Amino acid sequence: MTNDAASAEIETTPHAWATTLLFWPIVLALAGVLLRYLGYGLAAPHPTPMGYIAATCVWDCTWYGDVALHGYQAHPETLNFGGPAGIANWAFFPLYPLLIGVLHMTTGATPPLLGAIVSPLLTLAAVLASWPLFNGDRRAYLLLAAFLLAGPFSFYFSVLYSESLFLLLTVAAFVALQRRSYLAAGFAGALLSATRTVGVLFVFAMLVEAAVELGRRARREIWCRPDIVLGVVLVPLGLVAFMAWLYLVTDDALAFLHIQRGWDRVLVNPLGAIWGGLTSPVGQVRDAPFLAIAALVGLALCCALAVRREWGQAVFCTLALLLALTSGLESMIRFIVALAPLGIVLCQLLAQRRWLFWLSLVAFLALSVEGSLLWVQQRGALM
Amino acid sequence: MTALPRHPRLLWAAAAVVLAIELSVAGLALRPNVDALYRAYYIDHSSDCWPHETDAHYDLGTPLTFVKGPGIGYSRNKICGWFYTNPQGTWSYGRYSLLRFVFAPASEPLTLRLTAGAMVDAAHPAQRVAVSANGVPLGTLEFDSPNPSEKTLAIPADVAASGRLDLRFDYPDARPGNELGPNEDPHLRALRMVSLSIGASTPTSS
Repeated sequence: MTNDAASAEIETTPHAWATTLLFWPIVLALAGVLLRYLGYGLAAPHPTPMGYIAATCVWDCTWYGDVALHGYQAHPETLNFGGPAGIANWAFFPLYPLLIGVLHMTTGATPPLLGAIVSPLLTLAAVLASWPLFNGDRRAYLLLAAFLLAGPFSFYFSVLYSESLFLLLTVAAFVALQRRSYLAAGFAGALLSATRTVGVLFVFAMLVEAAVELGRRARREIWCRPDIVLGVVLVPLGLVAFMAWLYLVTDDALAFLHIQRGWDRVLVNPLGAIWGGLTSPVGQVRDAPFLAIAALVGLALCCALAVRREWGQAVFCTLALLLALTSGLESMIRFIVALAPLGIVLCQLLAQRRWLFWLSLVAFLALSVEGSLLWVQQRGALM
Repeated sequence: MTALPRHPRLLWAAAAVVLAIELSVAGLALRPNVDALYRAYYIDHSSDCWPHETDAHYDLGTPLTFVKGPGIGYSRNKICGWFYTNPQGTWSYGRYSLLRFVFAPASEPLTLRLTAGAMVDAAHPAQRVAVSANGVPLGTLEFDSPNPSEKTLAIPADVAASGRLDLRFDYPDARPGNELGPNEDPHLRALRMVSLSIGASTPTSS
């Protein structure tokens, strides 16, 4: 069956639609919970559900919890926390912790517990919403569902991290863009820019897609398309709102940027960072060769998006990766797997052959346990 | 082809309002209303010292370790200018480092004893370290090996009697950390401190 035929069947047969688009992702989401718990169980002497919540709340999880419970700090910390500088929670964008904070006030549940519940649901929503981006490719869609909900890096989308919300908003923004609904894309982009630093780069995806649509008539026709202009200027609004809030709290609208010094982040040449990681495995950056290879895979997938003429997605992902690389290789795996278009094109490539689809599916599920175990053990490359 | 939007004037007006809001917040970004210390460390990067708050308590004679692992760590006495502690020691960070010690006032001169390796290679064979206590120069040490070696300096009786010691290490020969390898942090390094103590014993070498 061709992809178009499959798509037509799904759109016309409610049963097929429900099975492919709803049933299997929900099954995979539940399987993901079990597999990740199994991974945690291998590391814990006496595994318990609350022990699982505590064990998986590592690294930035604490920061998001802090923002959700207490809001943003007025000053950098002046404690002997181990490094050279004072750090503060300004580096963590507000939309996800705001959501968790509201749910905490409503339910009384702790942020790590809420993260373990809300993040998988947001990820499931992202998978369901992503269907229009697959052009009817059911195998690729199911593979993405397996990758995000029960795959080796699914722990990123099941803890108190903003990756799940970023994923959902990225999907929503690109679906809106695909439908040439620039206002909806602009609103999704505004939420995206309030979720993570790279979210504001969606503005370039909109500009590229608008240029593709208007073509050579762009200079004349843009004056007849205030929807495009409004959509584009809406995107930075989330970031701008965060900056205004930071100015009120800290007197520095760019505090989210300046506080990067607290983590010793310095500007580096992205290609130099990759080359350094490949050629010099020792140093401050843990698992540098692995992270460098991940960066190269990410950039290769950006090229695959361009080859498929998904210009907006290619531009967004390339800029997001390059921006992340200007701070070095750390957290590169997390940055890559949270870029929804890269996951989609990867799964489209892997789903081209039936045997490769099944092999990938089995590998994703099998490696989920290992991924969860390494996360609980705080393997540096996964930071 | 996408249909032209309805209410174009309303959309233009909304775009203008959003843009005006964004530009006004961008204006705030250019005018941070912060103190000089914050500006120097986080914005201008003209300082590498973000002072940590500590009671700086110290029992004279206690050896402090700068190595990750067991032993009494130096964190209670750290002010600034030190990188993350690792199993080999703690690198200095920037052009100078500060430590503070608050202790029972001593009636006699004290001895500063430190063990450290240095950021040296064939092209840069030595690291000089100018040490001062409460603003009084104690001397300049020279480290010529990446392997740890022990050095001592005398602390005058009047400084020892104050019960408070602000130690400053200046590094005129500090080198970028990424000279050790491309995955290292590029901040300036000079000394890899392993241990330090202040006690009453007589210096044996300098």
